Amino acid sequence: MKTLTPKLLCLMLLAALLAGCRKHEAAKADEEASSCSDMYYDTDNAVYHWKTTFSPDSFDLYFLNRHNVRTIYMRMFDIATETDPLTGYSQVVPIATTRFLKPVPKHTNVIPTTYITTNALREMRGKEEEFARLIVERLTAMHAYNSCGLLREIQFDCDWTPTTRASYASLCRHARELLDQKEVRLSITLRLHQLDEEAPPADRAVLMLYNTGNLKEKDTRNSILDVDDVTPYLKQCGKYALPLSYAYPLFGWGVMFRGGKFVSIVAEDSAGTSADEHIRTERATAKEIMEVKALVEKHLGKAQGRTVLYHLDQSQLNHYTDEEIQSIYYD
Amino acid sequence: MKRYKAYITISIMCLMLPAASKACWVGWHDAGEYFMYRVCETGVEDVSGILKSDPLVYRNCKEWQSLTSDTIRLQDICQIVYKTTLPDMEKVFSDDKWESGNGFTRWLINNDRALADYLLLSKNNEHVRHQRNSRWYYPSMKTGGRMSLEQIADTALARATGRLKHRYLLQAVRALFTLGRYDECIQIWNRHLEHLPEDNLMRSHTKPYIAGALVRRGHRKQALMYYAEMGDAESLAVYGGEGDRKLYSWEALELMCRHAPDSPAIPEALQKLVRQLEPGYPAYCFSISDKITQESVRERVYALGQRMVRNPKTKDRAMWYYTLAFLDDIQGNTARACQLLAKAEKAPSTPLIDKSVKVLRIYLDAKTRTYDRAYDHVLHRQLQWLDLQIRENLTAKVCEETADFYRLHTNVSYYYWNDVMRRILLGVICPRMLEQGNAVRALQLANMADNHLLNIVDKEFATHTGRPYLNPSLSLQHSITHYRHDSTWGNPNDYSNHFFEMIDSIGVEHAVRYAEVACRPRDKFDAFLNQCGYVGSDYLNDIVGTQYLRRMDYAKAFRYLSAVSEAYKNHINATMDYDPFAVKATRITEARDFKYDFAREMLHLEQCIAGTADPNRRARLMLRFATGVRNSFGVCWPLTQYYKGECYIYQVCEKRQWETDRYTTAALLRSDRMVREALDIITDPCLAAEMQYTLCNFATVARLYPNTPYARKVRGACDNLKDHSPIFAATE
Repeated sequence: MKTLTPKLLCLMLLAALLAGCRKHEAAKADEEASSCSDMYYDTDNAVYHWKTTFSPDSFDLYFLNRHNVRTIYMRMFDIATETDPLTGYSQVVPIATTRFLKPVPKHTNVIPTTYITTNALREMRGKEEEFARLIVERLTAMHAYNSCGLLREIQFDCDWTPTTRASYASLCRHARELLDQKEVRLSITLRLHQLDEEAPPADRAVLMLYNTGNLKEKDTRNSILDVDDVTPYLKQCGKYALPLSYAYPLFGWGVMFRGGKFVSIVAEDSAGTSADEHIRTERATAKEIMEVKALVEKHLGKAQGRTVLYHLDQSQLNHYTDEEIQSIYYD
Repeated sequence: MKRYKAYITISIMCLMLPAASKACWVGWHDAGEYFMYRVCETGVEDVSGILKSDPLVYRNCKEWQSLTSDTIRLQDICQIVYKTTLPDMEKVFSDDKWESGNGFTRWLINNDRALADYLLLSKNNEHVRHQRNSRWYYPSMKTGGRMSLEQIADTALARATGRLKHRYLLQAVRALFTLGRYDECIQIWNRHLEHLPEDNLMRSHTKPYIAGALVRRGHRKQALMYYAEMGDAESLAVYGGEGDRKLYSWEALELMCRHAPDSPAIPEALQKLVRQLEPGYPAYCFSISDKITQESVRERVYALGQRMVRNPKTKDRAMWYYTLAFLDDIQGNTARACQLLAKAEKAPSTPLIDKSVKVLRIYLDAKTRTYDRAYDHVLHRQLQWLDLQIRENLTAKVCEETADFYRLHTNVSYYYWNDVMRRILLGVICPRMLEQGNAVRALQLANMADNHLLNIVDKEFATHTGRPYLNPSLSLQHSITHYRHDSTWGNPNDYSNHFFEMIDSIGVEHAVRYAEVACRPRDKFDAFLNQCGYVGSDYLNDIVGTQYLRRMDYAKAFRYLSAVSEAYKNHINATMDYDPFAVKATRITEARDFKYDFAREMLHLEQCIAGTADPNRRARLMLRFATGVRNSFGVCWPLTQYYKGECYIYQVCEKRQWETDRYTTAALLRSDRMVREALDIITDPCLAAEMQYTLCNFATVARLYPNTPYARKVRGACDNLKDHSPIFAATE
């Protein structure tokens, strides 16, 4: 009896555990069946949507499905400054609001994202609380109005610098206070040059591994992504204070120079119209991306969140094979 | 180290800057730049002002009065209908215990809940529409209103019967318009409102929304007609042009005048335009287009005015004659301006235009009439009328702005009645009076222009740092009298205005004459002007006494300065920090009654010099006197002046360059001459050596008086001796 009792207890415990697991799975299955679009994944494949209309076509849907992309970081609007025609004063306003022409696909998380221009950030100084409320309310409203499912995270994108860091931190802090009440997380984008700075008060960050070089410099090889540009930033940084996801560029463009001076970004297949015009074609290849991925994981560790690709656009994604995209997501 | 180098360099450069730095400078306008054209009230914020200036508001409040009770004040109605916000309104009507000082709400709560319900719905509508019109708004965002616009529209339509039918229809149209349901707006208009008489208030209030709805439904022509009838210049400008071209403001005005020559909005658009042609409108702001000049706009508006006075449909002909006269005067055609103004005076008019016409008449009289006894009488009457307007139209806001005095002293337009008085007096009459030699009258009028409003307001912000917004914690409000007799702060008011600059530079004889008239008015006009100015005997005696010090007439200076009261002597906007009788600049701790003391001492020295026979004693007195004269234009300049430098804090006029004027030059020459004379008459070499030593002329001491103790002293101190007193040098 003495020897049997512990064995019996163990068996009973195991049976109880198994029963519990089954119950949990059943509950999860029920949940999935009842509200599929309300699923939320912390670690999955994600993509940015950076357009002014959301109208996914068959390619987009195929892409999301094929690569098991469950999360879309959706740019909802930019925040910029404009002159009020009545008062002549500069005002901070949302611009280029995304129009939803088609519904959001099922089983997809939408993380409403806003790009804050540095001018707008400067203008917000001293009024961060007021603007945090406006931004959060508008992102939340857009998310709900367009049936984007369960809201668990919003994202701020801003190229803040040491001079605007305090204001940005204040904006994030106020936004986070508001979001905490709703159990929504705040994530931020992070540029390489911001790695050195104290992390703003947010729950997580997406490290943008693109636009790493000087676009306007004639001698830049590839301003979108160049391992040589990334390496110095990563070598000198330590562990970042926030959990990091990584975003990689799946896009390209042409950069036009006239007489050695930057003119504009043009289509990748554009041709110069005069002898002194030169177009530099830029695109990050899958190989380069993988190289940077290895480098960043070596220095900052594996992504603690998602792997994000920039951005959901057939004309850009066509330049990459499914296998290449799979390897960026999974390898 | 690099940073330190920069720091050291900057510090050295700072040290090398002139020690007597120039004081702060503020931009100012010419007194002739005040805006004077006025055909409507603008910038009215207080309830009484709104009621007076906006006929639609007045009519609406009157209608509310007839819906409620004649005993309720229009101001109370206006406050609730136009000023109270939704949260305040909800508080009033949801809390029975709430005590309202407002007669209108009290009446609604006790007598007519249906009207209260309507007001709540309209406030809700206003609140939600305001939120939705924000750039940050996105559908589904909370607006803070208790009802959505859809609910407001439905409720308003459901309640649109009986006495409030048209009011509820207006609310429905407003809500539907914001929702973009333009067809329904037009339907309501066609079915219920269009047929109402044109002067029906609710029809007028609804019309702008219908015009907007018509534009959005492609009925542009009809919409333009409505905009023109309403006088909506902005909408006309946006939608009136061919294709995407916007109309210029005068083109929109022409359209308005063509379609609705008596629209109440025309005066506002006209005023906006004509003020751009006035001298005070900065030319750099006139940026309609490179090709459009103020002259071409003036011509267009003038042509429009001519058409309007000929148009039999024009009711407010006086306004148009007034406009033509005004434009002619701007163009320099004053004679024709006078003729046209005479027509304005005879044409049917409104009280507001009547008053504007009267102001222009005063202005044109000032420009054209001969300044004789007859004009004196006319001017007296005209200024009495302006005084009445200044008093009657004074608001709390104007009082605050006057107490701040920044606007007043920089000639910025802020209170029409005082502005035009200053423009007429300072810009036209004073210069003409001076030209004709009537300095006393010019001084009286300048004094009125500067001080009349201050006297009425009798309040002044006084701060250690200047204007209150620079440091609100240090600002206090005092009566003008208190301000003028307290030594805690400076007195830029009285020592940098137009009157002061005039009396300080016009010559002491005129100042004396003015002070006499201020003390003993010759007639009723003098008495009136005295009342309107600041003629404090301390102030004037100090000014006259100081000018006599400047003239080195110490007897008269003493007479006037001894008449300045003890209490005033510390408040003359300048302090003296040096001993006036020390050859080398020697700081003193406190010089309270310094002008009086100085005048007394100089008078005494003058008398002693005249009455002393002994040459050595006389020489000593002469040196002291000469030193006093020199210092009173040097380190002790507050004895003879009220400021130093070209730019001066709160400056409103060009400052006298007194450092090089004839009085300063004469004083320095006299001082120099007197020192020479003193040294010439000395018989005692020891005293001569002592005086040269005091003057720091060490080389002279050693050379001319080698056997004196002073010579031994300088020789023992230095091998290379020089004379250091440039003014008193060359006295061998």
